Amino acid sequence: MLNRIRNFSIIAHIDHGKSTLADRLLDFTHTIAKRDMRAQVLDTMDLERERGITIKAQAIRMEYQNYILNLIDTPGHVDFSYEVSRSLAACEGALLLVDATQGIEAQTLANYHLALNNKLTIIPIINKIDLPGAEVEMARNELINTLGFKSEDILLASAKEGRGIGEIIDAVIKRVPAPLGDPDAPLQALIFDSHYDPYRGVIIYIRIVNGTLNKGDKILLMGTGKDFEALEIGTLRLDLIPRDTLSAGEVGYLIGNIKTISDAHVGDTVTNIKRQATTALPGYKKIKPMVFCGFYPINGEDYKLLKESIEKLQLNDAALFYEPETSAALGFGFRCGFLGLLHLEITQQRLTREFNIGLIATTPNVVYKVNLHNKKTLFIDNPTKLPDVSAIESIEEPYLKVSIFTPAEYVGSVMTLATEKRGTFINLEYLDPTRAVATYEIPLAEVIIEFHDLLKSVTKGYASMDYEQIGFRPSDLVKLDILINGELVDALSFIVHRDRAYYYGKKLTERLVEEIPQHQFSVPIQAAIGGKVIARETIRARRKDVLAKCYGGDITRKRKLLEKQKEGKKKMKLIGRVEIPQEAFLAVLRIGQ
Amino acid sequence: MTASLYVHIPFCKQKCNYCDFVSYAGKENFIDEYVETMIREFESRCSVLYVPCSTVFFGGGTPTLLEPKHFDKILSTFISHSSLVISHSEISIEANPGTAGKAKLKALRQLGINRLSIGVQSFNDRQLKTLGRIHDSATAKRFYQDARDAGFDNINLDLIFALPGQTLAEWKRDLATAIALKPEHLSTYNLQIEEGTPFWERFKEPSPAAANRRTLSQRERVMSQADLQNTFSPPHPLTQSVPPLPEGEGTSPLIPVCATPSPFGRRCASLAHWMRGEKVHSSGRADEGLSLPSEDEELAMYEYAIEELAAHGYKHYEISNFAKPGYECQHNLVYWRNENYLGIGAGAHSHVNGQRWSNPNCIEKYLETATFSRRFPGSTADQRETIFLGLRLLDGLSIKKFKGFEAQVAELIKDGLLTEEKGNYKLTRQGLYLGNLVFEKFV
Repeated sequence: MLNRIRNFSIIAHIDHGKSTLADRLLDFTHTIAKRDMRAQVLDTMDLERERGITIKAQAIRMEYQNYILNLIDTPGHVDFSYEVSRSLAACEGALLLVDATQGIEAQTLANYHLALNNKLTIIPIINKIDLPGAEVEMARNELINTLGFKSEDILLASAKEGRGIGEIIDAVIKRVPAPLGDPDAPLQALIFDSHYDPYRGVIIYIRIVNGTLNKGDKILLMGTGKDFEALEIGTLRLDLIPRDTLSAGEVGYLIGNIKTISDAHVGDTVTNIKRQATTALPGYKKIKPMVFCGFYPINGEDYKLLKESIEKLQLNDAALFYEPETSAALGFGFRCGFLGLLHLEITQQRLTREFNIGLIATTPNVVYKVNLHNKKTLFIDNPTKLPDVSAIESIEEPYLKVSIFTPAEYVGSVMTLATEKRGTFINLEYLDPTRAVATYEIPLAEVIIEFHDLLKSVTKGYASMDYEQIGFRPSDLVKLDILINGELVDALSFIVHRDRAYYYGKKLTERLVEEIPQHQFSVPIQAAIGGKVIARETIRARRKDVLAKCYGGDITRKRKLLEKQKEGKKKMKLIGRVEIPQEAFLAVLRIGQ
Repeated sequence: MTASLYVHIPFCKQKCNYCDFVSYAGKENFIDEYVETMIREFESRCSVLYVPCSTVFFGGGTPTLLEPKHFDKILSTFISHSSLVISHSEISIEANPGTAGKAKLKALRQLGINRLSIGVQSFNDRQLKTLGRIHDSATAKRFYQDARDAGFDNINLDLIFALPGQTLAEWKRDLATAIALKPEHLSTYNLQIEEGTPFWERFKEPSPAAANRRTLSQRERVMSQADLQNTFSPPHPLTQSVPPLPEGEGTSPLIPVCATPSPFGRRCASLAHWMRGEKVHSSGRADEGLSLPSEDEELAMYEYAIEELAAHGYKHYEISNFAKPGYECQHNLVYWRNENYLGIGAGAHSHVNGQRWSNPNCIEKYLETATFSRRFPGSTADQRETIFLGLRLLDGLSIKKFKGFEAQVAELIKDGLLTEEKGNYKLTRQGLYLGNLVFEKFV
């Protein structure tokens, strides 16, 4: 039985056609009835479909010519590389997709390495050969020269048009090895994904590596040490198909009385309580958030709704961290931790859209490692919690190793940008005469503000990037404070490199001048470091505000206008004597975006 | 207590660039039918006014596009269906220079129309072009003279200040010219940029800050370099966004523009523009690149008008209205005292004891009205409206009317915007300039 199973995944850079290919495979193997066919079936969330990215991994079991083909879908974005690696760990093979009009890009390479690390058999496929801009030979050469594939191993396809699908399935059957594993050994199953269902609780997706799982078995999760009963197990098509047994090599799901996702970590090992495996499967990592921001409801009354909504989101998002927080300026809210900027943006959009909450998000910031004179070390995720300057010996910030793929003509701009963002040059390599990859070490704090957008902008959208975390490094960092009419507004404080302090201070004060309306008195806006003002703008006092004309036909309209203005003022946040509209916080606090 | 009648005449030769009134160009063919419909409306609704009418106001649009026979019909209906007594009433008409000759003016005067409000707006031909007016300064002055000759002894001139590209000196000249004509009444309006007008497209301000930047004062920057140890690297062009130049700076008050028309008028104006650094397009549009005066300049213009008109014997009785004693516009006082008026015609508004209604703006729709439904008065005027309208009159209104708003009054007095005098609360000079802040407190 084992030898008729093939577990594989599709890996590619964003928009190279992963989801469309998945659709075609399902189609070809008649796994899904025509009427259930919706473009890109595996992306179940609207948001995903909108942004064209997969956030949640899913798995589907296909049957073809007596073979069982388990397609495990993976998130495509670099923020979620841990999830990708665990999904790959559940496979023996991977289809490496390359867009014929783009060639190898950052995540092509990143995913390729992840697959290699997991010792997968990789089948290279050039996709989108139907497009007029397709340069098959260029892509082929890159695959051969950069990644070392043999020309005869490379497949051609157009997922959109359904060409080459049969050859791909054949290749999977012929080239991807059958899983190895002993069905009689103690149970070891890898959790590669999980999902919270409001009716059924947490559903975990597992790949049985060794042993056999039976319905009703009492299981233990080795990483968290929690135990459950396997109330229902089975395999997956579009829905869940219950079975009595799953054995080594198979991919399926398990529903136990698992209440929360935090109990079932991706990468954890499932084993049988009565007959435990001696070791857990390798590669399990506790997820650590990289990027933080504060979420505050615009209306104080929405706080409860915000709390409930974040809780709901967290049900299905094990990487979302949050804890309550207060701001003198914004009131009660939450400090949330994310895997990356994309993760943050998606969460913010989901809160605004799915739960309809008016939300203020503070400037994203990273964790800083603060070494105090008394030898203690603090990890600060909120700039307002930075201890007094006198107590600090040094501050360290997280760094990334960033690889930027760019056409040759933009190399100069890319390098200027990276340097401007306090990056240290590591390497520049040409993949071919027209494309290069530049490697820099850049502080995470610089990358999460504007970097991606600027990169796209200076390369006319052609560049792509990938990064990995490389730990903390000391930096000359200071806390930038904003004072409005002489009062410190804590929600606007942030930690910045001394060299950039003036630039950000100036930018922030100028943005505030744009957004705060005039008052009956002048309002100075200052940026300061440790009490020393480094930038200042002034909002002049309003001197004239009177309706010149009001006759019989104007009265109703003008009354409504006055009422509206009055209402508008109510919506503003009063800080000292200054009324600040929500737009000001939104605009200013999202200064990089 | 008396009531007023308002008649709306929404016909114009051409829409001006700043106008958001209910008015249409090119529909003069509807005039006859329109008058008939208005008569029909009045006959159905006149009963809602149960007190004698003492004022009539023909507004628009351009009321003077109608013929004396039309006004005759309308006034006759008023007389027969209400207690209007022409000889004891103020009957006003708005007029545009160039839309009525001496003969028509005489005829209107003879029908009993005894007050004329002329839409001069400016005596500066360049400004008139910018505004999109169909007349020039010479025509306006001639029209005024014709009106006097026709027997009008109660004339108002409308002026607008804070026009695009206008300097304080130009405004002073406009005002001087108006005063020299010796009208009984002057209305001076600060230009408002209204949504939906061509001016909105050209001059609307995107944010509160753009308004803030429309000033002449400098921005201060304080920087403590020594404390920053490193000299900062100037932001890279890639990452720095350059704030746009403040609007309004660059208009120089120094170079005069010909106010009096001359055969070389247009060229003269062009020269002045060139000297001021403004572009003149070959199409002849001399107003490209204009921007609105700053808030300081607006205020200076308004203040100047108040002082200058006072010096010439005009009482500043409402925010934008000045009159020689005894010549205040009785009709408009009804609005500001929140008293009762019936409006007929497309887009006309009515108010009777707190009940407000209006007719559809569209002429065709108005004409299609089969029956004009009866309207009923409210029980009493709305207190909030009474207050915010009443405060527009500079003498203010009785303390008694502010019952229930003591807290707001106290706050405004503390802020220096309101003051008490002779049993009334009224706007202070500061309150006059920041009137909306006062009015907001009461709605």
